[in-house]
Amino acid sequence: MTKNLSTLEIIRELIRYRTGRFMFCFTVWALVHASPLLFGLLIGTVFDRLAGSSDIAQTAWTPVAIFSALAIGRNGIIWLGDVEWIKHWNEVTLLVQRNLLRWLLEAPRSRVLPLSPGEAVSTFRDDVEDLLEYLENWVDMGGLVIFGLGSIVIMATIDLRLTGFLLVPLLLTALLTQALGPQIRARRRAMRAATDDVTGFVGETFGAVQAIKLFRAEEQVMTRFQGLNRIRHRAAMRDTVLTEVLRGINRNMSTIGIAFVLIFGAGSLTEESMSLGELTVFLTYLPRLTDYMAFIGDIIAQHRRTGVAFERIRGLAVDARDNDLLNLSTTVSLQGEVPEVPGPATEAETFDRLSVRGLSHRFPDNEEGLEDVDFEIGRGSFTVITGKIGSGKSTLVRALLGLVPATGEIRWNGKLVEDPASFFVPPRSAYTAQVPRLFSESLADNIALGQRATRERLREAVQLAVLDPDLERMEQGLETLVGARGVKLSGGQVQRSAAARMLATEAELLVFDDLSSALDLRTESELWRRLFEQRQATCLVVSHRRAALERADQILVMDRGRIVARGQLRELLEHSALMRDLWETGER
Amino acid sequence: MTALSDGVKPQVTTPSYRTTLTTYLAPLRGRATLLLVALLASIGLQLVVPQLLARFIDQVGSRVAVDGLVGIGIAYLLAGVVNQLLDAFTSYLGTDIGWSATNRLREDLGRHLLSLDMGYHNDTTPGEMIERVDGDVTAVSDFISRFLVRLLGAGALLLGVLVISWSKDPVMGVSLTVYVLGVLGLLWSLRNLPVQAAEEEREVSAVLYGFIEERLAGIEDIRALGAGRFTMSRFIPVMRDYYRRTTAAWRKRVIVWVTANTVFWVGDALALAVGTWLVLADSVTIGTAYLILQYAQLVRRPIEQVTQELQRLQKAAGGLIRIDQLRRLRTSISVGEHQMPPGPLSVELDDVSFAYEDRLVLDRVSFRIEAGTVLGLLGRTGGGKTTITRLISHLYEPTQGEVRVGGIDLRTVEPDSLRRALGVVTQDVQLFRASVRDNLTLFRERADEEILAVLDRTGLGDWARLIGLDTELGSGGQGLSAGEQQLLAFARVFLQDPGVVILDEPSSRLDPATESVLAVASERLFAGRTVFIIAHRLETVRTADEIMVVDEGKIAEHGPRTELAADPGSLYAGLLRLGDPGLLEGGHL
Repeated sequence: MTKNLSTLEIIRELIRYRTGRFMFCFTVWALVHASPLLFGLLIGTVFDRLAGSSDIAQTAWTPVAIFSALAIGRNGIIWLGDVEWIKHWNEVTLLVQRNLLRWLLEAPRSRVLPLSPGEAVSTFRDDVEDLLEYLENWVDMGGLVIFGLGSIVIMATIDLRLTGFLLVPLLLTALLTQALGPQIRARRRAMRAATDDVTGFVGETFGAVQAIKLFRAEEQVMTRFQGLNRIRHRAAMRDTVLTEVLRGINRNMSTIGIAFVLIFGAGSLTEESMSLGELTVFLTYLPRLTDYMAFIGDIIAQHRRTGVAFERIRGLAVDARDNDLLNLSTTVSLQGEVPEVPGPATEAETFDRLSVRGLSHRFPDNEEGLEDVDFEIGRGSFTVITGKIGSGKSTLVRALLGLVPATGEIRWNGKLVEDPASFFVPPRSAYTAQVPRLFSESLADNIALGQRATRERLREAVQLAVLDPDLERMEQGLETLVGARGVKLSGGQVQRSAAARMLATEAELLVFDDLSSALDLRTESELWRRLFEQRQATCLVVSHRRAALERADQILVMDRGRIVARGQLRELLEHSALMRDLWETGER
Repeated sequence: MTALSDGVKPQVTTPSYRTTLTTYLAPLRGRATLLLVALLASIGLQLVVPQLLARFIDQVGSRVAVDGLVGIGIAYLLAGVVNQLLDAFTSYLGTDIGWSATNRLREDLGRHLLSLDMGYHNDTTPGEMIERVDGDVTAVSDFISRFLVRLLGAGALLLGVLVISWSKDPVMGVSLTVYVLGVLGLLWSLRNLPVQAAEEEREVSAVLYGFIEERLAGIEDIRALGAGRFTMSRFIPVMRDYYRRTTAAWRKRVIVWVTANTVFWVGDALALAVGTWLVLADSVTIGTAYLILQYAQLVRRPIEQVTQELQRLQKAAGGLIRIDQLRRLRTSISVGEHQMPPGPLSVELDDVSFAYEDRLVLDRVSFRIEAGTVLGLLGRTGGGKTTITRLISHLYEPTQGEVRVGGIDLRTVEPDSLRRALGVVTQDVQLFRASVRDNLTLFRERADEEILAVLDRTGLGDWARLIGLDTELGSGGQGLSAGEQQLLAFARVFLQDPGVVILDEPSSRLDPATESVLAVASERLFAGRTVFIIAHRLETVRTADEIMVVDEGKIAEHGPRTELAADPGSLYAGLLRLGDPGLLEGGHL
């Protein structure tokens, strides 16, 4: 594994994406930020000439004219620089997001999201935005340095002693801003957290409004709401006070600076070692120099924040190399034809036998996982995994398919499977999760999911999954849009669609994780019947229903992450007390 | 928003939201006055400071003693520091007033919304409620804390600059007035561009991040079905659309920004030109010429603030109008003073109809359940079972007929006494991100021993002792199994100890072992109470005294369970033969 890139190297990669465009923006902003140097000098010239004799005063119009021309020109190039920068910003954002999503969906080995999808999205949005903000700082940096050094040199040539004197408070401000930065962020975070608590509580309250009404807990809820509101009010005040103090310090420093110039420059002015125009140069530069100092402090903070943001991105895309995430090739994303999606990458050899030895999985939080599981599945067989809730049934199939990391040996037709995650896909195997997810597209797209399935194959899958009666009632049939996460369908329809999606793959090994909440008993029996009549599929099924158990060639009874009994139903009912228990209380 | 379940259209008149505003600002009159005074003082200082500079420059020109100049420098320093303090003080006070007023508004609004009918809440999502109780009110808070301070302050500052300019020189007065009005007009004409841009950005971001979130939530489905490449190819048009539209939206923003910047710099150039002209014409001193430049720069911020804050004003007005509409909604549930007797109670529906949004859900239903009876309610989803239980728990009021519990018409019952008499276990257990204790008592005070005793009866005692009553539960019951959530809901009802219990059985999958724990707990819960069970499995009603089958808003069958089971022609016997609820969605009777 290559070593991680430093924050500066990351920025270098992002600049390299389009070096020419970045340099263009950099130059534009250098000119824009440095131009006040000239403006200050021009203002100084105007006032020096006005203070002179009437002949000289007439020539004040020249610097006024130059000032006007420059002012208009400056904004013209701001427009150009901005338009180019917008493109850079949006392109880089999208490309990094694409890399991240692609890694999560396509990279080999198990990918378990370390965060909830909602939290992961905030990494996609906010952490990537942090990268871009820092990149933008680098665009600004050139101009800031030129103005900073330039103004100090110009002021020093006017009055070295006074300039040296002024730099002290300026530096102090920059340092103080830096020192208070973490405090400000902490208070801002506290404010945000307090806001989240309030909105979260409002959401929960109205989500549970029925319970509240039934228990007449309105007053109790409101008391809690008042408490949260008070906390938020206090947090808002703390946030405001510190921000205001800091803003005060920043602005006061330029006020104090100007006052210093007035007080300590008074002597030079009366002795005429400093001219009126030179005084205005000081007055023009000082506020801007204070702003820029504070800005440099912000950039240092942003550097740190960017490091943290990228660390979070790495945390999401576990074991990706930085170069995978920063690969900004645009082909087939922002430009060019959208390519046909290739069918399954591998031609499957006919399935014969799957054997699993010593399959184990540990959950990170020491919860019971899977311990040393062995089993075999032959072609055309029907295997049922059963057991109490939490006994490891789902974990077993997910470990087998590489959806969670596991140790152990898996052999497919006798050959060792190196990476189950990329191996167990159609046409070898297909899977329906306990809580399957659909995507906001048409039902046809959801079922085909990129397989180049013919209309006929879709129809057949729909019929096998006993989804055909539902389809008849939908006006647009397979073209029905299912809404976000399939909200427009009922829970049962979502599960039957997911089953159809699996069946459309025509995979050799079909893995079902518990269909009981989707299908009533009749429908489930019907599904098994249709499946056996029309296909010679091999099935691995998590279930505690009799319809499945009765049909099984092999039942694996699980308890606390281990297989505690196996065999056919009749033998198990004789020998296993646990099996008898499950059978008795199970649904008929 | 289809909020008006009671059919009353709110009349919105402008003065009404002014009333809302004054109601909440009136108690803060003292602080508001203080704020105004500080604001005016700060504006005065901001106007004075540039004049100090002008005087300084003039005195340099007239070769006065150094002491005089130093004096001006010190005055400048003091004015600057005091001004900054005043500025911080007004921000502080403005924020404080804003939060004090609007927190009260939030609380009143929250309480009011809670009092509205379930019909209203069924039509609104919690997300909408957050927007109403917090979003709109925050917009109003912005209105108070920022609009008042910034818009008033900015207006006063602009006015001050113009007044002083006119007093110095008419040409200076004319040019600054024309400049300020011109820029205000220009920026005001562009004001909608950033709003449009923000809306477009919000829209396309929602699409992009919605796509990502949905795919991340389905990561296992995608990976196990080898659909990664397909999904990424679907991402391409989403990306391209995002790119095209955000770039366009951003350009709109830039137009406004660049325009403002250009006019401000041109303003500086104009100020220099006017100053030069007036000095050459001997109308003003050099110091005043510098003052013109200073004032041209001073008006930048207030001009921007006026345009921004006027926009916020529109938004706040929208929020106020919506708040006012909500405050006019009234619940249609009537209450009285009658107290419910303790112990099991009879339940009676007398010729009851219920319509929801013009759809007849229950059609002239009558029945009587004796105290202490366990009744199993069967029937298709949408047939009317849930409506019957909601009428009994008085979440709905019948459109016609009377609902009597313990012989008393529910419309005449005192609400707290009804709560004690009636316990409900809903299908989805609604949990709060709060301690186990608060989730059980719904934030009421109860003794620990009492709570633990109840938990023991529902089989959660060991669990609660292990994790402690103060452990915070995740939002939506995170970290609890469906079975544990159900048991918690049982415990809630046990604590309440009502005479009537309504149980809406969960349709989610529970494993057999958990179900048997639940069965024991429900047996205890049902003892000595009148019970209504909405069953999704026939097993659940196997011990019921009576069975009622509800279909299409009518009672299709009602009788003692044993009799119905023995009658081969009964619907219940038919369901038993099917061996399955067939009652779930898609099933047919």
